[in-house]
Amino acid sequence: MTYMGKPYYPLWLDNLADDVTLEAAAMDGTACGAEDVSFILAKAREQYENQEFNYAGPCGENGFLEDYSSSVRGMPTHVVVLVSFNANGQTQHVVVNHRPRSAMLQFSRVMLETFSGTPHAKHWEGTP
Amino acid sequence: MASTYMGRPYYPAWLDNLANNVTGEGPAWDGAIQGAAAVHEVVVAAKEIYEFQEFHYAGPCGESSFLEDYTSSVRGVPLYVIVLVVFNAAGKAQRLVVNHRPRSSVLVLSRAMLERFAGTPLAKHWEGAP
Repeated sequence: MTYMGKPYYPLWLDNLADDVTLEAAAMDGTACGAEDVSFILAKAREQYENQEFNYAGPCGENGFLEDYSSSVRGMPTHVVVLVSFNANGQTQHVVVNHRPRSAMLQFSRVMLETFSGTPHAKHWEGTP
Repeated sequence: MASTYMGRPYYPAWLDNLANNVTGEGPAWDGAIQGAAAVHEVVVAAKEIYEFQEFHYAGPCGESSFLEDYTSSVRGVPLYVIVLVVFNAAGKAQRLVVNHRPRSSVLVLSRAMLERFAGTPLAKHWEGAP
């Protein structure tokens, strides 16, 4: 995981608000709460075969944007993540956007496999 | 179709400032839409399909980008959108990424865009939409 040739780690991941929410192009519904969101994001990151960041930095007054390229099961997958912080500087809202459509749907199917049989699976059930 | 930001009409100025070789990507389609005429046509078509646009944020993002965050609906289905516009050194919109969510709504929009562009060279971006 690199940004401008150097190792990169998303610090916002370690600073989630208790009532943080997660939405995504590859998901239905909203995941709520620090424990669930952290767990889902950790599993999502395990699917990436690499992450090459084109941008990671401030966006607007209370946001942080990540723009990176990756691959999942050999398929090029491009991602834009928008993080919004609350007044305490904690991560309040995360939106993860995979593209193109084929890669988004593949990622959704992979997440369904990963969470099959768990309460989290509902976010990816019905993926064509 | 009403498009408002902070209670006032909103129009994306970047749409009239596309680089000749601008690209458009998003979770609702495959491939990259290439060129100012095609990107403009697709954005205008999408805006016609949206039933409304209520902007929560439209402003700078980093040093050379612009972000839009808005709520919409398509065929009665709620649709949430984050648009990232990256400008080139000349200040023109060089790269457009339109991010729709949730997944079910992405696919409703994808099917609507396939209907809209059926029989045209642009249809390839939405063909195969489940």
